[in-house]
Amino acid sequence: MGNEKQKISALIELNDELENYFQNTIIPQLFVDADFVLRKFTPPAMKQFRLRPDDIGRPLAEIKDNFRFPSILENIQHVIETGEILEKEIQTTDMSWFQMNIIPYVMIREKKTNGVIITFVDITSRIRELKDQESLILEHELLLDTISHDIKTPLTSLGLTIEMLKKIPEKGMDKFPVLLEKVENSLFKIKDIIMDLTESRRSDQHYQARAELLDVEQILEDVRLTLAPQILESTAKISWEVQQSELFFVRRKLRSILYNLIGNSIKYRYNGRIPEIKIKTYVDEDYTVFTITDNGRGIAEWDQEKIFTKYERISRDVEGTGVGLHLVKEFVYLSGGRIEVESKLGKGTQFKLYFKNHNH
Amino acid sequence: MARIILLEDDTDIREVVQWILESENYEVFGFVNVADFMDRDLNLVPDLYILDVMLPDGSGLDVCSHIRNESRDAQVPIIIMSAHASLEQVSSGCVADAFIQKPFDVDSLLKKVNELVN
Repeated sequence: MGNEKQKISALIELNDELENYFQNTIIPQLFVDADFVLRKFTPPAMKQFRLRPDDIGRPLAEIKDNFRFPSILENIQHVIETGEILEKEIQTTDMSWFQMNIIPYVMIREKKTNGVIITFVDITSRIRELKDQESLILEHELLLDTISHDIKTPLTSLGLTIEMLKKIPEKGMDKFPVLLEKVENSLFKIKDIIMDLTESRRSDQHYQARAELLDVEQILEDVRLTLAPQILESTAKISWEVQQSELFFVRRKLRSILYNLIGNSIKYRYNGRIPEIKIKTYVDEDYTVFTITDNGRGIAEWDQEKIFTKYERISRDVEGTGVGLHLVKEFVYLSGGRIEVESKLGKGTQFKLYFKNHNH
Repeated sequence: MARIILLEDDTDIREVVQWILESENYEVFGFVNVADFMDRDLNLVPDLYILDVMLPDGSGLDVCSHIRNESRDAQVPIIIMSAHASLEQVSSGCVADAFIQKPFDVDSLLKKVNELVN
């Protein structure tokens, strides 16, 4: 009998130790048994997933919405069936990111998996930083593209003029003053581009952030050429009907908006269907409206609100940062406009952009 | 004397290209934008077109297609000139005979022009 008592008090002591250890854990952790019943959770799990003490003993299916991650039950099942550890990065429906580890709970004596222990490590800020970096790189590339494009014009005339200057001895002096003037002109143009750049850095504004009267077709053509490799690869057909040919907007932003939307139409094309993208512009009361219509895979109704959220991505099979559409929306809304989206799964998508007309 | 129509909105480039070609004994007619080009004397049928792509009121590629669809000028060679590197790949709307990427030098310009005119 004395022996039994000793054993029991040793077990109680062990239980206390484990319980205290558990209460001190700073990461959300769940114990779920092989029947999918919640057996235990750490205090941070309680806070994170809004669990109550009387949730212990309840089937996980009843409280699965608390975890804001729809496939959690399937993941647990997989671990119980295979006995393999599952590690993955998940995004919960409230936009947080977690490193989720599901480890089989093995009963050593019976050598069987009798449940799982699930650990969640919050990696939201780390993922945000990564995505911010990606969007910076994207912005940077667009900027480099714009600068190199802008600088090529004065560079061309400068190069040609200098070659002509070299021929002065054989061709005669009469063109000399005008050629020199051209050299000077080109230098001024290059200087202006550099000034724009350094000014924008000082005032923390973007390069050429001034709104100006833009020729819509010119920007469309420019975007089409920038997307050339994708257009070629996908054999996409792009056409436009420009009823309103001018827009007062920031050049780089309009370019970025159209680049993102047309690029998406190509990216999210319907498998086996040649992408057809139609762009139309017209005036509707106080707005200049752009419609971008494609015959792509479409966006499910329940996803249509999410697409403009930063870092949100609804398709995982296509490369992307989840930043593009967020930028598009920001550019349009900050200028006093709005965006509407209409889409049918498997049929295609139409984006309608309303740009406020300014009297200038 | 062979005649060349040059459509380029940047004054510096247009004038210097014009001089380069004139010094090679070509007769050059410069136009600054699409509207200006469309207003041209239609009796003027050149031996070569040189078209810039990004014009203030439209695209040189559309002008190219327009020329190709006019039976009178359809056979006249066309050179497309642009700062875009991937231009050759997407000019499907317009079948140009040659492309020149900006910035370019005098020799490469003259080589292409001479090839197409003679």
